[in-house]
Amino acid sequence: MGIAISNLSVRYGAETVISGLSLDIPQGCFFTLLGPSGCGKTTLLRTIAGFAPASGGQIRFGGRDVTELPPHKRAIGMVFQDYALFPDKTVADNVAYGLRARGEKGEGVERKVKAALERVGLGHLLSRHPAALSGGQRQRVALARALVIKPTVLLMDEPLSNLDAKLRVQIRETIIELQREANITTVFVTHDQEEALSMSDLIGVMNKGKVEQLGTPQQIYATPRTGYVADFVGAANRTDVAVRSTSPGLVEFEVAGNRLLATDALEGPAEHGLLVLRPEDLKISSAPVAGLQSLPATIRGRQYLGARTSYSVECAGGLVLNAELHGAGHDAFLPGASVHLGFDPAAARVIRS
Amino acid sequence: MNPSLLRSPWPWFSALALALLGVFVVYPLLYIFTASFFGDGGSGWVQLMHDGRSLAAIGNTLVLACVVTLCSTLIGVPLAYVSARFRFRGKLLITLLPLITLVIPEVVTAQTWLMILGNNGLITRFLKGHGIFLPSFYGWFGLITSMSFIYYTYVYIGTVAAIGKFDAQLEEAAQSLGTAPVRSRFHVMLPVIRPAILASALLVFTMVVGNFAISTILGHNVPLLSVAIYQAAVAEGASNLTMQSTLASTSVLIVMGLLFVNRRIIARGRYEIVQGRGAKPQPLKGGQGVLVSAAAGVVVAISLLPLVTIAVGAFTVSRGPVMRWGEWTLDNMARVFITAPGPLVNSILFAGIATLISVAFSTLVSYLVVKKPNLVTPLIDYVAAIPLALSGTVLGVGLLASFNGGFLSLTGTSTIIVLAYVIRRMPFGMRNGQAILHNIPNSIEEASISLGSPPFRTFLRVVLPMMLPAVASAAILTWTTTVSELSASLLVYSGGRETLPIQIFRLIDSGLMAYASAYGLVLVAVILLPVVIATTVFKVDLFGSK
Amino acid sequence: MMKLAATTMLLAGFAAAGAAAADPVIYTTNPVPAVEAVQAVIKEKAGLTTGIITGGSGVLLRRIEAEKATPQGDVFWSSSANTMGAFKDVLEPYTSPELAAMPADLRVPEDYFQPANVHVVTVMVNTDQLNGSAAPGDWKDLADPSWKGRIVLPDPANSSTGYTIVWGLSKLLDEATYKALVANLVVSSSSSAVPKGVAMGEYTVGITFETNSYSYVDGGQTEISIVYPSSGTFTTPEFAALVKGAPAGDNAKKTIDTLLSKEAQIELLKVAFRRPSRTDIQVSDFVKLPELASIKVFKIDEEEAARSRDTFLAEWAALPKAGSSK
Repeated sequence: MGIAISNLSVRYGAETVISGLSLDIPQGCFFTLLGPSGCGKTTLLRTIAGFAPASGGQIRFGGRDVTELPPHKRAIGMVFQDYALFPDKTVADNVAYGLRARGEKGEGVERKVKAALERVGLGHLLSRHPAALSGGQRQRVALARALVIKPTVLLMDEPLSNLDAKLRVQIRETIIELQREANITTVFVTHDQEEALSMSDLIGVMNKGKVEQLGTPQQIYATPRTGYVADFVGAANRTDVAVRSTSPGLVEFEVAGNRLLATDALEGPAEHGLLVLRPEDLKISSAPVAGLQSLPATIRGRQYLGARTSYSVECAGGLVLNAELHGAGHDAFLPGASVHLGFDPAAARVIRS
Repeated sequence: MNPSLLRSPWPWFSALALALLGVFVVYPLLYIFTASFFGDGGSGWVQLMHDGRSLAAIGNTLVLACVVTLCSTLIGVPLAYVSARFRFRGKLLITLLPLITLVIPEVVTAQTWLMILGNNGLITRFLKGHGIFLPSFYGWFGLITSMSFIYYTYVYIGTVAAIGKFDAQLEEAAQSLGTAPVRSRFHVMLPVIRPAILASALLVFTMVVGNFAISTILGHNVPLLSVAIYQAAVAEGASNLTMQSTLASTSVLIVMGLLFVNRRIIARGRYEIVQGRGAKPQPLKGGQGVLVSAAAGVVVAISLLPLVTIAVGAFTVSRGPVMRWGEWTLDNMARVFITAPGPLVNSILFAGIATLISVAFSTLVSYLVVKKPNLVTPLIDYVAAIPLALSGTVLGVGLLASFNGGFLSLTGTSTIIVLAYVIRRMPFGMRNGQAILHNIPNSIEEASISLGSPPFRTFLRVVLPMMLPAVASAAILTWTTTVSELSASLLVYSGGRETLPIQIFRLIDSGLMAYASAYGLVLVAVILLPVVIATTVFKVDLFGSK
Repeated sequence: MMKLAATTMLLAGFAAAGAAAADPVIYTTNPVPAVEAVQAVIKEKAGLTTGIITGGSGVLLRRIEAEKATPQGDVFWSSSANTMGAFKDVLEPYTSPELAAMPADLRVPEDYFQPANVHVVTVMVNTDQLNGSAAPGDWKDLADPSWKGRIVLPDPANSSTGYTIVWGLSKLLDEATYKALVANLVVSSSSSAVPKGVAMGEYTVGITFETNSYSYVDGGQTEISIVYPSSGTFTTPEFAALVKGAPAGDNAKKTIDTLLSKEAQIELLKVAFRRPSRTDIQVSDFVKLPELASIKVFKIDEEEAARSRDTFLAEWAALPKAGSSK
């Protein structure tokens, strides 16, 4: 069942947290709301769940209007950051809770609970209490508890942020597997771009109560439509540039006295734009490289990071850009060295500023 | 307001709670305030200004409260310090202190003090033999001594917790900077634990202002506010509603003024308790250890004396008011259980019902206040705290005046006793419940709702079980304080509805110490039984020693 | 929890079963031993089981007044005529046959109340605390400055006993002696603290009713002695009364008859040391108390005392005393 949100607004007292938001999440989609804290992503999730009342607009699950429906009647499955397991109940009773709330009894419940826990690899911990589980185990129980009731949508509020880095990667996989298996529409809230990029079918990058860009992970990363998205998802050099001329697909711009070409992402005529250039798309070499636009430059700073090296490079006209080199010899350049900085126009984008 | 909100049960519960509090807390209070202005003989406040005895009672009460607060602090703080920071022989006894004050009826304590320090008391006679003459125990001397030795416990409990939390590193830091240990303690620790001391001192102050049992037994020729209120309410022949209301209002105003001061001090926010690594108790050995355990032992022994007295008195032969010490009998106990079991039955019945109601109400209301805030919940929170400012005597007067006929006639019923119990003890349950609920994350509840369990069922199935250990300990504390309640119930009870404390009070008043001791001993047992069962069988942590 | 609830329900049923509807209910100010003794006599003599409601006289009388429309009590027992006078309209005159055995001067007009016993004011002395003083024989002995602060009496402002004593003394003694005596007095806000204070040695002398002081003598506290002042002491009768519209009807009257009967009064004398209102009981046959005839009594005018209460108390309040709290 898909989720359709139209013209939704949420207010707390005088403060508007979300205004006029519309969003379509297709059936079976793993949808991630990505953004920094305070951007409204959790509020949006809680409004979908029904915990935060909508002050305007409409939410539909598979065509059914649920805007006025109390949360316990929305048939959602929810997973929380702090797991929210019932501490006085065993693992099995935690998982059985939703089934019993639906009036199911007896052996059927036991069978389903056991199957659900086995699916997350915890079939042996039925009679434990949550306090005796590790963080990762707790989140698996929470996942089993949310899914065993076969909810119409699965809502997850930063479920991985209380776990350590290695565990996070493991549970990511578990979540993806289960979601694919159940083919359940999922809304996943996170502030971690890596999580978002690695797990999602679709990502909505949120800013100030609005979805700033909606797209596949590749679209979001490769073709950010705003400076905010470019900056939040991955690192990016962002510079205001003056637009000189456009030809189909390409734009000629001027920055710090240099005239250069980049992909035209302005979406219409403009005099100024924002150049977005990922550090890993910049090449440093001692001589200009054929096929790349090249700028004479000087190394100003250098951070050795093991698998890569990050450089701060000053180009002609005082323009400073960050560049990142990978592969053999990535740490070869020293501060003060005169170099050439090159990039492919296809990798650079000028967007509306 | 969002229409979906009204479909949830919580707004309705809020309204119901507010209505109940309005009728049973606000209305009696307003009734008293109103009655103090419009009486038969004009405004009670004008009458008060011309009533020397009442003015003296107010003045005496304030002086007494100041002195007792000071003495209690001087006993309680050092005791708390040594027991939080040192290990020594007999320290376990000191941890029994809170129990002792909780369970011994104040009337019994006062009577015991008379037997020791009265004109004919053991110590008095001993000192007289050595040419030292003590002042009469009736009046100031007795009031200050006996109240200080009861109320220091509250200072002790409050301070010991604060010292336990105090970061010993601060003290060590001060010492490393070259301050001597004693000075560093004063300069570093005192300011940090001051709010706790201040809060418990204010509690003591309000308890002295509201004290009835000791005041009436030892006050004698020192007029005191709560005794004056009581007498205005039930004096032979006349019941002066205006005067009793005026005096009761005065008591309320004093305590409210104090709570206001307390808030101001806390609001200044200068005193943040530094949470950190508490100091490990240091063993005290040799002379120092003996000295500390002896001093602490004396304090504990003095607190324990009344218990010993009633234990002996309960089995001592008596003829009328005269005790035949050394002759033993079971007659007194037979009276409690067989001949006149009314007070025992009443106490268990009334306090049991009141505890159930009080705990249920305060649990639900604290849930509303913490988890389901709406426009009226702050008001509910505020109103539910009002009884903290009412002494038992004031509450009794208020209930008696408000529910005597009129739209709700409760005078002479058991209901009004239970009501007095519930109102008096409910704020403690509220405070407890709110503290617990703040520790239960909202997500637990939302998890349950998201799994399809409606809000109220979620409260019953998920929140309540999580609160249960805390609710159980609140129930037990409510029980102990309710069973021993005297000052409010003494005003609202009617014949045949005597409770154990009332019966003890009446028997001591008639000088029948042996019977009073027997009822007193049974009362202590009735109070202690659930405490003992809870702490040993169910391992409930009653005093928040964690 | 459930178990506790069940137990309390059971106990409630048990408690309620204690009192049946038709039995007379006595509203009484008397202490438990006295009440139990009288209940036993009523049961034996009249075959009636009585319900008991205890409380202060003011509280009980006001309650009778409050229950005027549907009376719950049958008999009020006991208080002074002055206190009961204000509640005449909820009480009913009843000329009990037993009144024939009472002296005429104890009876009240129309027999509105029935004399139940006679209180005698005594000087209770703790001889251990005399410390060289001679035991007092009369009021004027207590006026000596050496007694300052050693004599306790109930506060006249809130105790009718205290008022009777002080009013009587003001009439009996000349002004100088009266003021000197008052200057020695300690006033106790609680009347029960007076005998207790003397028995515990807190005070050497207490001015209190015979029933209170004698209970210590009877108990075997040998240092307590009772003095009947030679120039005269005061007596005050206490009364029982029938509640108007008493639901128990004739049984209520029977209860009063039994209360006034010889058997009940002897029991009261033996158990609670209440001097009978009847003339046909030889007190010394039962307790070691002198006959009323051998005690010099100074007659006071109770009605005048009641009339002048406010003025007298104001004057009294202005007199210097030993136990003044300021």
